[in-house]
Amino acid sequence: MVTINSLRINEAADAIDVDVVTSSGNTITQLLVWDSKTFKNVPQAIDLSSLLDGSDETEVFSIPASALSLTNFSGLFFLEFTSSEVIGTDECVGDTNVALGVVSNFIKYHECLLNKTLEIQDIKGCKQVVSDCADCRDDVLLLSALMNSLNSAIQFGFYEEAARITETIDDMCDSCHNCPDYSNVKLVSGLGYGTYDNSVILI
Amino acid sequence: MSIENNRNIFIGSTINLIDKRLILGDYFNSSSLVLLNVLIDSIEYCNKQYTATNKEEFLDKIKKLNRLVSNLKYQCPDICIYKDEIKNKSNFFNTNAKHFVSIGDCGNNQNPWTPVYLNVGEDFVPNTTILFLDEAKTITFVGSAVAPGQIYEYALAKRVGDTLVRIIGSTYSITNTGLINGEVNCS
Repeated sequence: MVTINSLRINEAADAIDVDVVTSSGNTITQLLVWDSKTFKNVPQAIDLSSLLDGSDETEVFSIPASALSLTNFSGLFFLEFTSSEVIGTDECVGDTNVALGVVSNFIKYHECLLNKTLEIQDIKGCKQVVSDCADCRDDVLLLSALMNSLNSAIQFGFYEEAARITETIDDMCDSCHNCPDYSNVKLVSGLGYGTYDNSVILI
Repeated sequence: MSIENNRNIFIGSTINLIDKRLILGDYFNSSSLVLLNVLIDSIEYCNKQYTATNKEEFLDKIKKLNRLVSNLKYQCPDICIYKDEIKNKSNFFNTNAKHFVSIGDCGNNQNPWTPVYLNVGEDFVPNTTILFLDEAKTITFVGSAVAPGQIYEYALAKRVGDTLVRIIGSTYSITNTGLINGEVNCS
């Protein structure tokens, strides 16, 4: 059995802090990482097993963003830990010597929603006025709904759906091309997810 | 405008929309409620970032977003119909709310009295009757050891029409029909 004690992106968003343990006498043998684009595509997984100490059942370390060729962690990330423990497969949960953890930093989505909201120039009646952009009026509402869906998907463990939603939000926010600067914001509580005691929670 | 007030208006407008839906079925427009929710979420995000970073830019954004919320409240009947009722409820029944009685708060140091905060929703405590004592406009509470310059807690009755603080000119008194949040005379 693998227990993820804690897994979270640090406040500076430049590392993932890992605290994971397996049954006594065993070790964590493999760590695979996916982002939302590559989730569960095994050939595209980034193998960070080299960061594992392997001396005992506990692993406490940090994954720097540079290990994934990133400058910081932004978006949704999945980390799969495998233990050396030899046990059967549980019909309900699958391989019990494997644990999947989730971390996220959704600042870029919150900033995107904020910027789109700030594009509203005025309110006329019950509707927002956005100049020169017929689609922008619907964009802000759709983006908000997508973010709510994303939160629900993560909380209910629908990770593939969550990954697809993040791709859509990325597309709407054009965050791949805009290269926005997030140096003036912080990853404060409520803006991302982490994993504690194998449970994914909003942190 | 506080986050609490915004959320009160949001809840009130939601109930309003539910009531309309019961009457009209699907013939109602919910987009204003969705828009209000987005605006409030954005304000709360800016508040979080301002608290964490202390950067002024977030205050400017909050100001703009608050203006949009205010416009929505006053221009959209789906939102503003419920506003007054919610406002009254939040004044007198919300146990978390604190209402600032701006005694002398004229914005120009004309009358720099000590501000008094009222705890809404707590039982009235008779011994905390406020008296105006002297020309220095010192505020004290009967039966309490107090000092000028502090911010004092003052218990308020639960129901509309119960004992409230009324500020009249350079004096103030306890009345049964007074208003809170205002009535400041800066002369």
